Amino acid sequence: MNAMVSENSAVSDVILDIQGASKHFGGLVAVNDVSFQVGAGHVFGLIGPNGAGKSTLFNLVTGVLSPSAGEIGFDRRPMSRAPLHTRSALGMARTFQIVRVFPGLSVLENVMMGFHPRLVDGILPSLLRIAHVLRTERALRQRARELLAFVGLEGRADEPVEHLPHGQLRLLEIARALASEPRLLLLDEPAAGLNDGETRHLGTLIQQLNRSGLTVLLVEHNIDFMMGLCHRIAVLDHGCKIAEGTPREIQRDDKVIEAYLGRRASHA
Amino acid sequence: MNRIHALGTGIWQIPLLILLAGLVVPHLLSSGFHLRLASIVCIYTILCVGFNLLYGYAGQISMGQQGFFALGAYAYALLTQAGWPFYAALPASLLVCAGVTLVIGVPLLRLRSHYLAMASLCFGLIFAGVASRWIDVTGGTAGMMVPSLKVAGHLVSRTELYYGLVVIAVAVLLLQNFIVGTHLGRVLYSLRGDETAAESLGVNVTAYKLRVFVLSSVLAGLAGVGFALVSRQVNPSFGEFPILVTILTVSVVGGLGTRYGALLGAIVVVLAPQGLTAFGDLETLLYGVCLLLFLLFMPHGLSGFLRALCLRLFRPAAAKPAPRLKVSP
Repeated sequence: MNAMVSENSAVSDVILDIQGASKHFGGLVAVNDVSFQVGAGHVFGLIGPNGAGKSTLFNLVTGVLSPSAGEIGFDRRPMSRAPLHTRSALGMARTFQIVRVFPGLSVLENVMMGFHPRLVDGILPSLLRIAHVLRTERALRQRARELLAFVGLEGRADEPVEHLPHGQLRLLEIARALASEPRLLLLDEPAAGLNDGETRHLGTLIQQLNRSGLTVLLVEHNIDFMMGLCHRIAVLDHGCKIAEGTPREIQRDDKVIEAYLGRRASHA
Repeated sequence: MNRIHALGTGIWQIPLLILLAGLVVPHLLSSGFHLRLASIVCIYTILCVGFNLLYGYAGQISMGQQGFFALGAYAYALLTQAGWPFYAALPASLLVCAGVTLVIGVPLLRLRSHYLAMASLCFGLIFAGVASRWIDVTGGTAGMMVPSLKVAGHLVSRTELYYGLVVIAVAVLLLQNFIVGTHLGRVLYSLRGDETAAESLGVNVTAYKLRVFVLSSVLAGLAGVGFALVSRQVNPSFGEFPILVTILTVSVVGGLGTRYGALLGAIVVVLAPQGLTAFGDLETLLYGVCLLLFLLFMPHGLSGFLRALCLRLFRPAAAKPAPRLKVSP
Protein backbone atom coordinates (compact mmCIF):
# COMPACT_ATOMS: atom_id res chain seq x y z
CA MET A 1 0.00 0.00 0.00
CA ASN A 2 2.97 2.28 0.35
CA ALA A 3 4.85 1.14 -2.73
CA MET A 4 4.06 4.28 -4.69
CA VAL A 5 5.98 6.57 -2.37
CA SER A 6 8.83 4.39 -1.16
CA GLU A 7 10.32 4.38 -4.66
CA ASN A 8 11.01 8.09 -4.69
CA SER A 9 12.48 8.13 -1.19
CA ALA A 10 15.93 8.80 -2.55
CA VAL A 11 15.00 12.05 -4.26
CA SER A 12 12.95 13.64 -1.48
CA ASP A 13 14.33 16.47 0.67
CA VAL A 14 15.41 15.75 4.19
CA ILE A 15 13.15 17.49 6.71
CA LEU A 16 14.45 15.92 9.93
CA ASP A 17 18.15 15.14 10.25
CA ILE A 18 19.35 13.33 13.35
CA GLN A 19 23.12 13.13 13.63
CA GLY A 20 24.74 11.07 16.36
CA ALA A 21 22.12 11.85 18.96
CA SER A 22 22.88 10.52 22.43
CA LYS A 23 21.18 10.93 25.77
CA HIS A 24 22.66 9.91 29.10
CA PHE A 25 20.83 9.90 32.40
CA GLY A 26 23.70 9.72 34.86
CA GLY A 27 25.39 6.42 34.03
CA LEU A 28 22.49 5.14 31.96
CA VAL A 29 22.80 5.52 28.21
CA ALA A 30 19.23 5.75 26.97
CA VAL A 31 20.05 6.74 23.40
CA ASN A 32 23.47 5.98 21.97
CA ASP A 33 24.76 7.71 18.84
CA VAL A 34 21.64 7.38 16.74
CA SER A 35 21.51 8.90 13.26
CA PHE A 36 18.77 8.86 10.68
CA GLN A 37 17.05 11.16 8.25
CA VAL A 38 13.38 11.63 7.56
CA GLY A 39 12.51 12.64 4.01
CA ALA A 40 9.84 15.27 3.43
CA GLY A 41 6.54 13.62 2.61
CA HIS A 42 7.37 10.33 4.30
CA VAL A 43 5.81 8.38 7.09
CA PHE A 44 8.81 7.35 9.16
CA GLY A 45 8.46 4.77 11.90
CA LEU A 46 10.57 4.21 14.99
CA ILE A 47 10.22 0.80 16.58
CA GLY A 48 12.00 -1.27 19.16
CA PRO A 49 11.33 -3.43 22.18
CA ASN A 50 10.34 -1.93 25.52
CA GLY A 51 13.13 0.19 26.97
CA ALA A 52 14.92 0.49 23.62
CA GLY A 53 15.05 4.28 23.94
CA LYS A 54 12.28 5.15 21.50
CA SER A 55 10.52 7.53 23.82
CA THR A 56 13.76 9.20 24.87
CA LEU A 57 14.72 9.70 21.24
CA PHE A 58 11.25 11.04 20.54
CA ASN A 59 11.63 13.50 23.40
CA LEU A 60 14.98 14.63 21.98
CA VAL A 61 13.33 15.32 18.64
CA THR A 62 10.37 17.14 20.18
CA GLY A 63 12.60 19.13 22.51
CA VAL A 64 11.26 17.94 25.85
CA LEU A 65 14.81 16.67 26.49
CA SER A 66 18.01 18.07 25.07
CA PRO A 67 20.62 15.65 23.71
CA SER A 68 23.83 14.93 25.65
CA ALA A 69 25.63 14.76 22.32
CA GLY A 70 24.81 15.03 18.65
CA GLU A 71 22.57 17.36 16.70
CA ILE A 72 18.99 17.32 15.59
CA GLY A 73 18.26 19.37 12.52
CA PHE A 74 14.80 20.34 11.41
CA ASP A 75 14.51 21.89 8.00
CA ARG A 76 18.31 22.44 7.94
CA ARG A 77 18.11 24.31 11.25
CA PRO A 78 19.94 23.01 14.33
CA MET A 79 17.26 22.37 16.95
CA SER A 80 18.91 20.78 19.95
CA ARG A 81 19.11 24.06 21.88
CA ALA A 82 15.85 25.59 20.64
CA PRO A 83 13.42 26.14 23.53
CA LEU A 84 10.41 23.85 23.52
CA HIS A 85 7.89 26.61 22.92
CA THR A 86 9.59 27.86 19.74
CA ARG A 87 9.23 24.58 17.87
CA SER A 88 5.60 24.64 16.93
CA ALA A 89 6.07 27.96 15.13
CA LEU A 90 8.83 26.33 13.05
CA GLY A 91 6.42 23.63 11.88
CA MET A 92 6.70 20.75 14.34
CA ALA A 93 3.62 19.45 16.13
CA ARG A 94 3.26 16.45 18.36
CA THR A 95 0.91 14.23 20.28
CA PHE A 96 1.70 12.58 23.60
CA GLN A 97 2.01 8.96 24.62
CA ILE A 98 -0.22 9.67 27.61
CA VAL A 99 -2.72 12.17 26.26
CA ARG A 100 -2.30 15.67 27.57
CA VAL A 101 -5.35 17.83 27.15
CA PHE A 102 -6.44 20.91 29.07
CA PRO A 103 -9.19 20.14 31.55
CA GLY A 104 -11.73 22.90 32.07
CA LEU A 105 -11.81 23.71 28.36
CA SER A 106 -14.20 22.26 25.82
CA VAL A 107 -13.12 19.85 23.10
CA LEU A 108 -13.27 22.70 20.60
CA GLU A 109 -11.18 25.01 22.80
CA ASN A 110 -8.56 22.33 23.24
CA VAL A 111 -8.19 22.20 19.46
CA MET A 112 -8.04 26.00 19.37
CA MET A 113 -4.98 25.92 21.66
CA GLY A 114 -3.18 24.51 18.63
CA PHE A 115 -3.59 27.81 16.78
CA HIS A 116 -1.30 29.52 19.28
CA PRO A 117 1.84 29.89 17.14
CA ARG A 118 -0.11 31.73 14.45
CA LEU A 119 -1.89 34.20 16.74
CA VAL A 120 -1.04 37.53 18.33
CA ASP A 121 1.14 36.67 21.33
CA GLY A 122 0.91 38.47 24.66
CA ILE A 123 -1.63 40.56 26.51
CA LEU A 124 -0.48 44.04 25.44
CA PRO A 125 -0.10 43.17 21.73
CA SER A 126 -3.57 41.62 21.85
CA LEU A 127 -5.00 44.79 23.39
CA LEU A 128 -3.35 46.90 20.72
CA ARG A 129 -5.00 44.78 18.03
CA ILE A 130 -8.29 44.27 19.79
CA ALA A 131 -10.48 44.39 16.67
CA HIS A 132 -8.28 41.89 14.85
CA VAL A 133 -8.23 39.51 17.82
CA LEU A 134 -12.02 39.60 18.23
CA ARG A 135 -12.52 39.11 14.50
CA THR A 136 -10.18 36.12 14.20
CA GLU A 137 -11.83 34.43 17.19
CA ARG A 138 -14.89 33.48 15.13
CA ALA A 139 -12.85 32.27 12.17
CA LEU A 140 -10.74 30.13 14.52
CA ARG A 141 -13.83 28.47 15.95
CA GLN A 142 -14.94 27.56 12.44
CA ARG A 143 -11.52 26.20 11.50
CA ALA A 144 -11.34 24.16 14.72
CA ARG A 145 -14.72 22.62 13.90
CA GLU A 146 -13.39 21.60 10.50
CA LEU A 147 -10.37 19.95 12.10
CA LEU A 148 -12.63 18.09 14.52
CA ALA A 149 -14.77 16.96 11.61
CA PHE A 150 -11.65 15.71 9.84
CA VAL A 151 -10.72 13.43 12.74
CA GLY A 152 -14.37 12.46 13.24
CA LEU A 153 -15.21 14.33 16.44
CA GLU A 154 -17.54 16.98 15.05
CA GLY A 155 -20.41 15.86 17.29
CA ARG A 156 -18.47 16.41 20.49
CA ALA A 157 -17.02 19.88 19.89
CA ASP A 158 -18.86 21.66 22.69
CA GLU A 159 -18.52 19.02 25.37
CA PRO A 160 -16.11 19.31 28.26
CA VAL A 161 -12.93 17.55 27.25
CA GLU A 162 -13.20 15.33 30.34
CA HIS A 163 -16.17 13.56 28.74
CA LEU A 164 -14.17 12.04 25.89
CA PRO A 165 -13.00 8.43 26.07
CA HIS A 166 -9.33 7.63 25.54
CA GLY A 167 -9.57 6.84 21.83
CA GLN A 168 -11.26 10.13 21.06
CA LEU A 169 -8.73 12.08 23.13
CA ARG A 170 -6.06 10.68 20.80
CA LEU A 171 -7.97 12.03 17.82
CA LEU A 172 -8.42 15.34 19.62
CA GLU A 173 -4.66 15.58 20.12
CA ILE A 174 -4.14 15.00 16.40
CA ALA A 175 -6.67 17.72 15.53
CA ARG A 176 -4.92 20.06 17.97
CA ALA A 177 -1.53 19.27 16.44
CA LEU A 178 -2.90 19.93 12.96
CA ALA A 179 -4.23 23.33 14.05
CA SER A 180 -0.68 24.72 14.02
CA GLU A 181 -0.37 23.69 10.34
CA PRO A 182 2.79 21.67 10.91
CA ARG A 183 5.11 20.30 8.26
CA LEU A 184 6.24 17.50 10.55
CA LEU A 185 3.78 15.63 12.72
CA LEU A 186 5.28 13.64 15.59
CA LEU A 187 3.11 10.91 17.05
CA ASP A 188 4.17 9.16 20.25
CA GLU A 189 2.61 5.67 20.33
CA PRO A 190 -0.63 6.90 18.79
CA ALA A 191 -2.22 3.43 18.68
CA ALA A 192 -1.52 2.60 22.32
CA GLY A 193 -4.76 1.75 24.11
CA LEU A 194 -6.89 1.88 20.95
CA ASN A 195 -9.13 -0.98 19.86
CA ASP A 196 -8.88 -2.49 16.37
CA GLY A 197 -11.48 -0.23 14.83
CA GLU A 198 -9.91 2.89 16.33
CA THR A 199 -6.46 1.78 15.17
CA ARG A 200 -7.70 1.32 11.60
CA HIS A 201 -9.33 4.77 11.70
CA LEU A 202 -6.06 6.23 12.96
CA GLY A 203 -4.11 4.54 10.17
CA THR A 204 -6.49 5.93 7.56
CA LEU A 205 -6.15 9.43 9.05
CA ILE A 206 -2.36 9.26 8.97
CA GLN A 207 -2.41 8.11 5.35
CA GLN A 208 -4.82 10.89 4.40
CA LEU A 209 -2.59 13.46 6.07
CA ASN A 210 0.49 12.05 4.43
CA ARG A 211 -1.16 12.11 1.01
CA SER A 212 -1.80 15.81 1.50
CA GLY A 213 1.94 16.28 1.92
CA LEU A 214 2.50 16.07 5.68
CA THR A 215 5.59 14.29 6.95
CA VAL A 216 4.93 12.00 9.89
CA LEU A 217 7.34 10.51 12.42
CA LEU A 218 5.79 7.94 14.66
CA VAL A 219 6.94 5.80 17.51
CA GLU A 220 4.86 2.72 17.91
CA HIS A 221 4.58 -0.65 19.55
CA ASN A 222 2.04 -2.14 17.20
CA ILE A 223 4.22 -3.66 14.45
CA ASP A 224 1.43 -4.62 12.07
CA PHE A 225 0.15 -1.06 12.22
CA MET A 226 3.62 0.26 11.34
CA MET A 227 4.32 -2.20 8.53
CA GLY A 228 1.29 -1.11 6.57
CA LEU A 229 1.79 2.58 7.16
CA CYS A 230 5.48 3.54 7.08
CA HIS A 231 7.70 4.23 4.11
CA ARG A 232 10.79 3.73 6.20
CA ILE A 233 11.41 2.31 9.63
CA ALA A 234 14.34 2.58 12.03
CA VAL A 235 14.75 -0.04 14.73
CA LEU A 236 16.21 0.76 18.13
CA ASP A 237 17.52 -1.74 20.63
CA HIS A 238 19.31 -0.87 23.89
CA GLY A 239 19.58 2.74 22.78
CA CYS A 240 21.31 1.96 19.45
CA LYS A 241 19.92 1.93 15.96
CA ILE A 242 20.26 -1.66 14.73
CA ALA A 243 18.52 -1.36 11.40
CA GLU A 244 16.83 1.02 9.01
CA GLY A 245 14.97 0.46 5.78
CA THR A 246 11.63 -0.16 4.17
CA PRO A 247 9.16 -2.28 6.16
CA ARG A 248 9.99 -5.27 3.95
CA GLU A 249 13.74 -4.92 4.53
CA ILE A 250 13.15 -4.56 8.26
CA GLN A 251 11.06 -7.70 8.38
CA ARG A 252 13.91 -9.66 6.81
CA ASP A 253 16.72 -8.14 8.86
CA ASP A 254 18.35 -10.79 11.06
CA LYS A 255 19.28 -8.38 13.81
CA VAL A 256 15.74 -7.08 14.00
CA ILE A 257 14.28 -10.55 14.05
CA GLU A 258 16.64 -11.45 16.83
CA ALA A 259 15.97 -8.35 18.88
CA TYR A 260 12.33 -7.88 18.35
CA LEU A 261 10.42 -9.60 15.64
CA GLY A 262 11.72 -13.10 16.26
CA ARG A 263 8.77 -14.47 18.14
CA ARG A 264 6.24 -12.70 15.99
CA ALA A 265 7.94 -13.72 12.75
CA SER A 266 7.84 -17.40 13.70
CA HIS A 267 4.15 -17.07 14.46
CA ALA A 268 3.45 -15.52 11.11
CA MET B 1 -16.89 24.42 36.99
CA ASN B 2 -17.66 27.56 35.10
CA ARG B 3 -16.07 27.14 31.76
CA ILE B 4 -14.70 29.68 29.42
CA HIS B 5 -16.66 28.26 26.51
CA ALA B 6 -19.88 28.71 28.40
CA LEU B 7 -18.94 32.33 28.99
CA GLY B 8 -17.34 32.85 25.61
CA THR B 9 -19.85 35.40 24.43
CA GLY B 10 -20.85 38.87 25.52
CA ILE B 11 -17.72 40.73 26.46
CA TRP B 12 -19.34 44.14 26.95
CA GLN B 13 -23.09 43.70 27.55
CA ILE B 14 -23.05 42.87 31.26
CA PRO B 15 -20.29 45.40 32.09
CA LEU B 16 -22.46 48.05 30.42
CA LEU B 17 -25.36 47.14 32.72
CA ILE B 18 -23.00 47.22 35.69
CA LEU B 19 -21.82 50.67 34.64
CA LEU B 20 -25.39 51.97 34.45
CA ALA B 21 -26.26 50.43 37.81
CA GLY B 22 -23.08 51.83 39.32
CA LEU B 23 -23.90 55.33 38.08
CA VAL B 24 -27.41 55.17 39.55
CA VAL B 25 -26.27 54.00 42.99
CA PRO B 26 -25.29 57.44 44.47
CA HIS B 27 -28.82 58.73 43.81
CA LEU B 28 -30.21 55.95 46.00
CA LEU B 29 -27.81 56.45 48.89
CA SER B 30 -28.44 58.76 51.77
CA SER B 31 -25.11 59.05 53.54
CA GLY B 32 -21.45 59.55 52.86
CA PHE B 33 -20.76 56.30 54.68
CA HIS B 34 -22.79 54.35 52.14
CA LEU B 35 -20.96 56.08 49.31
CA ARG B 36 -17.71 54.99 50.92
CA LEU B 37 -18.95 51.39 51.01
CA ALA B 38 -19.91 51.60 47.33
CA SER B 39 -16.43 52.95 46.53
CA ILE B 40 -14.85 50.07 48.42
CA VAL B 41 -16.91 47.58 46.40
CA CYS B 42 -15.32 49.06 43.25
CA ILE B 43 -11.85 48.88 44.81
CA TYR B 44 -12.24 45.25 45.86
CA THR B 45 -13.59 44.41 42.42
CA ILE B 46 -10.47 45.84 40.75
CA LEU B 47 -8.21 44.08 43.26
CA CYS B 48 -9.95 40.72 42.97
CA VAL B 49 -10.28 40.70 39.18
CA GLY B 50 -6.48 40.71 39.15
CA PHE B 51 -6.34 37.85 41.62
CA ASN B 52 -9.02 36.01 39.66
CA LEU B 53 -7.02 36.20 36.42
CA LEU B 54 -3.88 35.02 38.21
CA TYR B 55 -5.35 32.25 40.35
CA GLY B 56 -8.89 31.62 39.14
CA TYR B 57 -7.87 31.33 35.50
CA ALA B 58 -4.11 30.79 35.27
CA GLY B 59 -3.90 28.73 38.47
CA GLN B 60 -0.89 30.65 39.84
CA ILE B 61 -1.38 31.56 43.46
CA SER B 62 0.08 34.73 44.91
CA MET B 63 -0.23 35.43 48.62
CA GLY B 64 1.25 38.90 48.24
CA GLN B 65 -1.56 40.79 46.51
CA GLN B 66 -2.10 42.86 49.68
CA GLY B 67 1.56 43.89 49.36
CA PHE B 68 1.04 45.19 45.83
CA PHE B 69 -2.18 46.86 46.97
CA ALA B 70 -0.20 48.71 49.65
CA LEU B 71 2.76 49.31 47.32
CA GLY B 72 0.50 51.12 44.84
CA ALA B 73 -1.03 53.18 47.64
CA TYR B 74 2.34 54.11 49.19
CA ALA B 75 3.95 54.88 45.86
CA TYR B 76 1.06 57.19 45.02
CA ALA B 77 1.18 58.88 48.45
CA LEU B 78 4.94 59.42 48.26
CA LEU B 79 4.85 60.74 44.70
CA THR B 80 1.99 63.09 45.52
CA GLN B 81 3.93 64.30 48.54
CA ALA B 82 6.85 64.96 46.23
CA GLY B 83 4.59 67.24 44.24
CA TRP B 84 3.67 64.96 41.34
CA PRO B 85 0.26 65.64 39.82
CA PHE B 86 -2.36 62.88 39.74
CA TYR B 87 -1.99 62.06 36.04
CA ALA B 88 1.74 61.39 36.52
CA ALA B 89 1.65 59.83 39.99
CA LEU B 90 -0.99 57.23 39.07
CA PRO B 91 0.83 55.62 36.11
CA ALA B 92 4.15 55.91 37.95
CA SER B 93 2.69 54.01 40.93
CA LEU B 94 1.46 51.28 38.60
CA LEU B 95 4.90 51.12 36.95
CA VAL B 96 6.48 50.68 40.38
CA CYS B 97 4.14 47.74 41.02
CA ALA B 98 4.99 46.24 37.64
CA GLY B 99 8.72 46.70 38.23
CA VAL B 100 8.68 45.04 41.66
CA THR B 101 6.59 42.19 40.25
CA LEU B 102 9.16 41.60 37.52
CA VAL B 103 11.97 41.51 40.09
CA ILE B 104 10.09 38.88 42.09
CA GLY B 105 8.66 37.02 39.14
CA VAL B 106 11.55 36.64 36.71
CA PRO B 107 13.64 34.27 38.85
CA LEU B 108 10.63 32.46 40.31
CA LEU B 109 8.26 31.79 37.48
CA ARG B 110 10.62 29.42 35.71
CA LEU B 111 9.93 27.07 38.58
CA ARG B 112 6.76 25.10 38.91
CA SER B 113 4.75 24.46 42.08
CA HIS B 114 4.36 26.81 45.00
CA TYR B 115 7.45 28.99 44.92
CA LEU B 116 5.36 31.92 43.73
CA ALA B 117 2.98 31.62 46.68
CA MET B 118 5.89 31.54 49.15
CA ALA B 119 7.87 34.35 47.60
CA SER B 120 4.88 36.65 47.18
CA LEU B 121 3.90 35.96 50.79
CA CYS B 122 7.42 36.99 51.84
CA PHE B 123 7.12 40.13 49.76
CA GLY B 124 3.86 41.00 51.51
CA LEU B 125 5.39 40.48 54.97
CA ILE B 126 8.52 42.45 54.11
CA PHE B 127 6.50 45.30 52.69
CA ALA B 128 4.27 45.50 55.76
CA GLY B 129 7.39 45.48 57.97
CA VAL B 130 9.10 48.23 55.98
CA ALA B 131 5.93 50.34 55.88
CA SER B 132 5.54 50.28 59.64
CA ARG B 133 9.24 50.69 60.60
CA TRP B 134 10.82 52.97 58.00
CA ILE B 135 9.27 55.90 59.79
CA ASP B 136 11.18 58.70 58.02
CA VAL B 137 9.75 57.75 54.65
CA THR B 138 6.47 55.98 55.33
CA GLY B 139 5.36 57.68 58.50
CA GLY B 140 5.45 54.41 60.43
CA THR B 141 2.25 53.01 61.87
CA ALA B 142 0.56 56.39 61.62
CA GLY B 143 1.04 56.36 57.86
CA MET B 144 0.69 59.41 55.63
CA MET B 145 -2.06 61.76 54.63
CA VAL B 146 -3.08 61.72 50.99
CA PRO B 147 -4.35 65.12 49.85
CA SER B 148 -7.77 65.27 48.22
CA LEU B 149 -7.64 64.63 44.53
CA LYS B 150 -7.36 67.67 42.31
CA VAL B 151 -7.70 67.33 38.55
CA ALA B 152 -7.00 70.42 36.46
CA GLY B 153 -7.56 72.72 39.41
CA HIS B 154 -10.91 71.13 40.25
CA LEU B 155 -11.26 69.56 43.68
CA VAL B 156 -12.79 66.12 43.13
CA SER B 157 -15.69 65.40 45.45
CA ARG B 158 -16.31 62.00 47.05
CA THR B 159 -19.19 61.35 44.69
CA GLU B 160 -17.06 62.20 41.66
CA LEU B 161 -14.31 59.96 42.98
CA TYR B 162 -16.86 57.17 43.27
CA TYR B 163 -17.93 57.70 39.65
CA GLY B 164 -14.30 57.48 38.61
CA LEU B 165 -13.89 54.21 40.50
CA VAL B 166 -17.02 52.76 38.89
CA VAL B 167 -15.71 53.59 35.43
CA ILE B 168 -12.31 52.06 36.22
CA ALA B 169 -13.87 48.93 37.75
CA VAL B 170 -16.02 48.45 34.64
CA ALA B 171 -12.99 49.02 32.42
CA VAL B 172 -11.13 46.36 34.40
CA LEU B 173 -14.06 43.96 33.98
CA LEU B 174 -14.00 44.65 30.24
CA LEU B 175 -10.27 43.94 30.14
CA GLN B 176 -10.83 40.69 32.01
CA ASN B 177 -13.68 39.67 29.71
CA PHE B 178 -11.57 40.40 26.66
CA ILE B 179 -8.74 38.26 28.01
CA VAL B 180 -11.01 35.44 29.14
CA GLY B 181 -13.19 35.49 26.03
CA THR B 182 -10.36 35.20 23.53
CA HIS B 183 -7.31 33.07 22.93
CA LEU B 184 -5.56 34.68 25.91
CA GLY B 185 -8.11 33.03 28.20
CA ARG B 186 -7.39 29.62 26.74
CA VAL B 187 -3.67 30.23 27.17
CA LEU B 188 -4.20 31.14 30.85
CA TYR B 189 -6.21 27.95 31.29
CA SER B 190 -3.45 25.93 29.66
CA LEU B 191 -0.98 27.15 32.31
CA ARG B 192 -2.96 25.53 35.08
CA GLY B 193 -3.50 22.37 33.07
CA ASP B 194 -0.32 20.99 31.63
CA GLU B 195 2.78 23.13 31.15
CA THR B 196 4.59 20.64 28.91
CA ALA B 197 1.61 20.36 26.60
CA ALA B 198 1.24 24.14 26.54
CA GLU B 199 4.95 24.59 25.70
CA SER B 200 4.73 22.02 22.94
CA LEU B 201 1.87 23.99 21.43
CA GLY B 202 4.09 27.07 21.35
CA VAL B 203 3.04 28.79 24.56
CA ASN B 204 5.94 30.52 26.29
CA VAL B 205 4.76 29.38 29.70
CA THR B 206 7.23 31.42 31.74
CA ALA B 207 6.43 34.60 29.83
CA TYR B 208 2.68 34.15 30.22
CA LYS B 209 2.95 33.43 33.93
CA LEU B 210 4.98 36.59 34.28
CA ARG B 211 2.51 38.62 32.20
CA VAL B 212 -0.50 37.61 34.22
CA PHE B 213 1.41 38.08 37.49
CA VAL B 214 2.36 41.61 36.44
CA LEU B 215 -1.19 42.36 35.33
CA SER B 216 -2.63 41.14 38.63
CA SER B 217 -0.25 43.20 40.71
CA VAL B 218 -0.78 46.31 38.58
CA LEU B 219 -4.52 45.90 39.18
CA ALA B 220 -3.79 45.46 42.90
CA GLY B 221 -1.73 48.66 42.80
CA LEU B 222 -4.54 50.47 40.98
CA ALA B 223 -6.98 49.36 43.67
CA GLY B 224 -4.45 50.55 46.28
CA VAL B 225 -4.30 54.02 44.75
CA GLY B 226 -8.10 54.09 44.77
CA PHE B 227 -8.19 53.07 48.41
CA ALA B 228 -5.63 55.74 49.32
CA LEU B 229 -7.78 58.38 47.60
CA VAL B 230 -10.98 57.20 49.24
CA SER B 231 -9.33 56.92 52.69
CA ARG B 232 -7.30 60.14 52.16
CA GLN B 233 -4.42 58.36 53.86
CA VAL B 234 -2.17 55.34 53.66
CA ASN B 235 -1.00 53.20 56.58
CA PRO B 236 0.62 49.80 57.08
CA SER B 237 -2.75 48.06 57.51
CA PHE B 238 -3.14 48.36 53.71
CA GLY B 239 -0.50 45.67 53.33
CA GLU B 240 -1.42 43.42 56.21
CA PHE B 241 -3.09 40.06 56.51
CA PRO B 242 -6.74 41.15 56.73
CA ILE B 243 -6.55 42.48 53.16
CA LEU B 244 -5.27 39.11 51.92
CA VAL B 245 -8.07 37.39 53.83
CA THR B 246 -10.53 39.78 52.19
CA ILE B 247 -9.15 38.96 48.73
CA LEU B 248 -9.51 35.24 49.36
CA THR B 249 -12.99 35.66 50.85
CA VAL B 250 -14.22 37.81 47.97
CA SER B 251 -12.85 35.30 45.48
CA VAL B 252 -14.35 32.26 47.17
CA VAL B 253 -17.74 33.85 47.88
CA GLY B 254 -18.00 35.30 44.37
CA GLY B 255 -16.55 32.31 42.58
CA LEU B 256 -13.01 31.81 41.30
CA GLY B 257 -12.56 31.52 37.57
CA THR B 258 -15.82 33.31 36.83
CA ARG B 259 -16.26 36.68 35.18
CA TYR B 260 -18.36 38.44 37.78
CA GLY B 261 -17.26 36.58 40.89
CA ALA B 262 -15.02 39.46 41.96
CA LEU B 263 -17.88 41.98 41.80
CA LEU B 264 -20.46 39.70 43.45
CA GLY B 265 -18.00 38.70 46.15
CA ALA B 266 -17.01 42.31 46.79
CA ILE B 267 -20.65 43.35 47.21
CA VAL B 268 -21.30 40.55 49.70
CA VAL B 269 -18.08 41.02 51.65
CA VAL B 270 -18.59 44.77 51.98
CA LEU B 271 -22.31 44.70 52.74
CA ALA B 272 -22.70 41.53 54.82
CA PRO B 273 -20.91 42.88 57.92
CA GLN B 274 -23.19 45.95 57.82
CA GLY B 275 -26.25 43.72 57.95
CA LEU B 276 -24.74 41.65 60.73
CA THR B 277 -23.95 44.56 63.05
CA ALA B 278 -27.47 44.20 64.45
CA PHE B 279 -26.36 40.96 66.07
CA GLY B 280 -23.76 42.72 68.18
CA ASP B 281 -21.25 40.34 69.71
CA LEU B 282 -22.40 37.51 67.49
CA GLU B 283 -21.40 39.39 64.32
CA THR B 284 -18.03 37.75 63.75
CA LEU B 285 -19.36 34.30 64.61
CA LEU B 286 -22.27 34.63 62.20
CA TYR B 287 -19.98 35.96 59.47
CA GLY B 288 -17.71 32.95 59.88
CA VAL B 289 -20.61 30.50 59.83
CA CYS B 290 -22.00 32.12 56.68
CA LEU B 291 -18.62 31.77 54.97
CA LEU B 292 -18.45 28.09 55.90
CA LEU B 293 -21.95 27.57 54.51
CA PHE B 294 -20.83 29.26 51.30
CA LEU B 295 -17.90 26.89 50.99
CA LEU B 296 -20.07 23.86 51.70
CA PHE B 297 -23.04 24.62 49.50
CA MET B 298 -21.65 26.89 46.80
CA PRO B 299 -18.21 25.56 45.99
CA HIS B 300 -18.21 27.70 42.84
CA GLY B 301 -19.35 30.78 44.67
CA LEU B 302 -22.28 33.02 43.93
CA SER B 303 -21.45 33.04 40.23
CA GLY B 304 -21.63 29.29 40.00
CA PHE B 305 -24.83 29.25 42.02
CA LEU B 306 -26.50 31.92 39.86
CA ARG B 307 -25.43 30.13 36.70
CA ALA B 308 -26.86 26.83 37.84
CA LEU B 309 -30.04 28.64 38.87
CA CYS B 310 -30.36 30.31 35.46
CA LEU B 311 -29.79 27.04 33.66
CA ARG B 312 -32.46 25.39 35.77
CA LEU B 313 -34.97 28.20 35.30
CA PHE B 314 -34.49 29.00 31.64
CA ARG B 315 -33.93 25.55 30.20
CA PRO B 316 -37.17 23.66 29.70
CA ALA B 317 -37.19 20.79 32.18
CA ALA B 318 -38.78 18.48 29.62
CA ALA B 319 -35.83 18.78 27.24
CA LYS B 320 -32.96 16.37 27.69
CA PRO B 321 -30.78 17.46 30.60
CA ALA B 322 -27.96 19.65 29.38
CA PRO B 323 -24.55 18.07 29.86
CA ARG B 324 -23.34 21.14 31.72
CA LEU B 325 -25.96 20.72 34.40
CA LYS B 326 -24.41 17.42 35.31
CA VAL B 327 -21.05 19.05 35.69
CA SER B 328 -22.07 21.98 37.79
CA PRO B 329 -22.97 21.07 41.34
